[in-house]
Amino acid sequence: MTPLLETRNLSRSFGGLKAVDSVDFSLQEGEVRALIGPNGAGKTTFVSLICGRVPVESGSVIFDGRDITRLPAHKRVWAGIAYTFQITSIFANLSVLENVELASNRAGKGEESARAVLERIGIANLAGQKAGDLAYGHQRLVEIAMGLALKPRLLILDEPTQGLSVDEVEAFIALMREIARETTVLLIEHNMHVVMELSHRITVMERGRILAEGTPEEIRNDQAVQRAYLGA
Amino acid sequence: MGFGPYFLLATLEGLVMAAVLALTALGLSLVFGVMRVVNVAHGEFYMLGAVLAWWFASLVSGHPALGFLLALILSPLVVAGVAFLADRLVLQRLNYEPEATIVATIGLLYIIQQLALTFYGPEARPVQAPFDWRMQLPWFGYSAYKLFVIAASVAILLGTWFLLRRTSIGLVMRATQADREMAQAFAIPVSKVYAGVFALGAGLAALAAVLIVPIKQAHYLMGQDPLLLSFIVVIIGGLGSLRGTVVAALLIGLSDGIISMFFSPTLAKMLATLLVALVLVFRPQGLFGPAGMAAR
Amino acid sequence: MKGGEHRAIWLHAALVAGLAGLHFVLPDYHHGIFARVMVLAVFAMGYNIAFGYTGLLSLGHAMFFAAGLYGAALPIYHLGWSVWPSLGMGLLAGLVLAVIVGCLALRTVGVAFMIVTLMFSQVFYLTTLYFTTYTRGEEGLVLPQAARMLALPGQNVSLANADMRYWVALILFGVTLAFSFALVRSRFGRSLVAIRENEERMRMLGYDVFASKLAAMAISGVVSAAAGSAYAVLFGYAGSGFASIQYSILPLLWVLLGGAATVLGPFIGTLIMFYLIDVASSYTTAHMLVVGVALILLILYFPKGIVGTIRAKWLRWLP
Repeated sequence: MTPLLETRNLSRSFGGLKAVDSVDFSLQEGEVRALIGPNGAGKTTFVSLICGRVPVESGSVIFDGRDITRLPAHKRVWAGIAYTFQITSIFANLSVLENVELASNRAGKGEESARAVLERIGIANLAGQKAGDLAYGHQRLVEIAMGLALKPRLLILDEPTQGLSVDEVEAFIALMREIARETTVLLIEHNMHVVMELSHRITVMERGRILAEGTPEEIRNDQAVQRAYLGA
Repeated sequence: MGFGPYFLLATLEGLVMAAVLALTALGLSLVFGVMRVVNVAHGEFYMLGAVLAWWFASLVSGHPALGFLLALILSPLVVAGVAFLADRLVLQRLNYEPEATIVATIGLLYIIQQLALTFYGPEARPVQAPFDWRMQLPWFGYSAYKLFVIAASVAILLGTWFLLRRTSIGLVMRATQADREMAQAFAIPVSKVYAGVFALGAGLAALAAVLIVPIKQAHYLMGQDPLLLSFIVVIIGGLGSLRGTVVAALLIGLSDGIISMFFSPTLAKMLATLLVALVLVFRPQGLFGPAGMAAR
Repeated sequence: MKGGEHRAIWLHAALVAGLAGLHFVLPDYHHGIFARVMVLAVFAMGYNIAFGYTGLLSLGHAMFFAAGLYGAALPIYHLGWSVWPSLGMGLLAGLVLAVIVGCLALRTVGVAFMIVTLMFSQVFYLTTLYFTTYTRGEEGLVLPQAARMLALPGQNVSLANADMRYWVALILFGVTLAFSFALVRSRFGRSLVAIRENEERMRMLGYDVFASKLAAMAISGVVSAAAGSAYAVLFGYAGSGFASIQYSILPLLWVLLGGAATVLGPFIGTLIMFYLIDVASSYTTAHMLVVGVALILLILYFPKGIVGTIRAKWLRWLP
């Protein structure tokens, strides 16, 4: 089966530093893949190369059989890739509904669709509130709602549970399980509990390269990974 | 006079222009480099320097050198003081937010210019040069004062370079420029540094104006051209680069004189402005700045 | 927000109606000022689209106003064109210039954008001075009254007539006001505001940010040029002064004072500032001091402007 997302020899440097170093990666449709690794491993850069935030230096990105390496970021959204930011990046001065509408408008839908997404995520009651007034955990959910409202085929989440309380993390896991039934998910995470609960497969990055890839069980037992993370 | 000597004359005139331009542009460059602030009123500090020079010189009768000396010392100090106040009262309160700061400096421009119009008047007034000697070259006589201006400018540029590179004050300034938050973590009083830099930038412009005022006259609108030219120098030379500023000032100063002799000054200004705008669009680091250091 | 929408429409309609009513009561001097203010308010509204709504702080909008001004004046003066085609020429000039400048300037952001727009505008200004044979530079072109006849169905109307001038200015103002109103409430208008807030996010939501900004510049340029063209035919004069930096600073000031990103703000700001300067010039030649002080006070203490503050504190439904 052709993978939904593939990268071949993908590289990107900043100054003299190779942030992403000749990475070959593939993701099947319907997967939930977690991308983990120590800080500075290049996870966010890698994901930014995929969604178009950062231009590719060398190598290629293939989405749904199509080479999107030179495609500008906003066109990749049309192709079906949605990215949610590591640092919450919602429109504080607009209402929650307006925030999500900006996304659903792009998918060709309107208010109805936006409300449906809010329902699904469980924050429909916050629709009229100013996004900037919400608690942090709820803002993260608005971020995810915006991603979903784009009706993506691939949803990329960058550290979605950062700053969430234990309860909120559990709610997130439940939500993700439901979303993963229809959408392929690639998430960068530091929270190992979330990673182990949600992912079908895990990719471990270190210093711009893929260190290991496998099921949660395989990764848990992988010596190289333990060394990278724990310095054992 | 043959072409050779004529060209030499043009070159000398260009050097004088470049000398004054280098000082003015350096002031602008320092302010942008350290504070990330575009001071649209920079030309008005220049004008204020000239106008105050006239006033100080007019207080002293007797040998013109005395009046000039007084102006040379006091005028930049007063202008620096005005700039210091402007920074404390206005710019600091805006937290140096780029767009708000530009609007504020535009306001400052109008205020300084119009106050000059009110108290100094619309006339252009000369200031006597401190000495009247002429250097006798084989083909023509040349004002020794103009040569003095070139020498003085070189001295001040060297002094500023020394200040930036060799003293602790300069180190503090460069540290604040490189990383404001880190500087604060090192207990550098950033707001004081900013006020000082803003004052220094204005003082340099005023100094340049005092030097030029015996050659040109003091007029309330004289800040407009130096502002545009300083912008051009700073953008072409690359922001925050002292060497770039000097080289660009030489280029612009010399070529402006020469081009103005062959083409209309309006056309020269048009082409220069257009060229600089395109440089800013396509090569934001200027011709000398390091790649990645853009006028953001 | 349906109730708010109705109230907003009524308020804006009331303003236009009020201005229409003033035609009959204003003494001649103020009547002339209001006509001028209405045309310049159109310029301010044009600027507001770029600056207030999209967050593009251009310091070069004088060039768009002047493109409209000269675009209309030159054909009338040199080629003997009638008013309608000349107005069209002015609008076209504004559009073309805005697109060209936008394509170049929008490759920069923030401070660089301000400087680039300032410089392009300076080039335009210097061009009007350079081709002084056609434009007569600072002295300017005076359009003869006979040339300023507006062809309407049934009759030709003289724009030199103070009454006609007021009506034409009012109609232009009303149309632009309605257009601004519709624009800001449209999807495109809301996307511009969102781009101003967080450009990167909009890009990642699939919006072509460059194209949106370029469209905003183009619309802003055309509206500004419309004001310029109208100014030329209504007041019969086109001079280099209108292309100078001052006419880039003034719309910024008007919009800041009235309230950026509000529909009524530009008009309020233009009206108040016009009278302030008018009063000040009867006292001193240094009346631009008012501009300087106003800019600093506004940016320090009152950045939302009059209508902006009213909206934030009391009338949230104001567009």
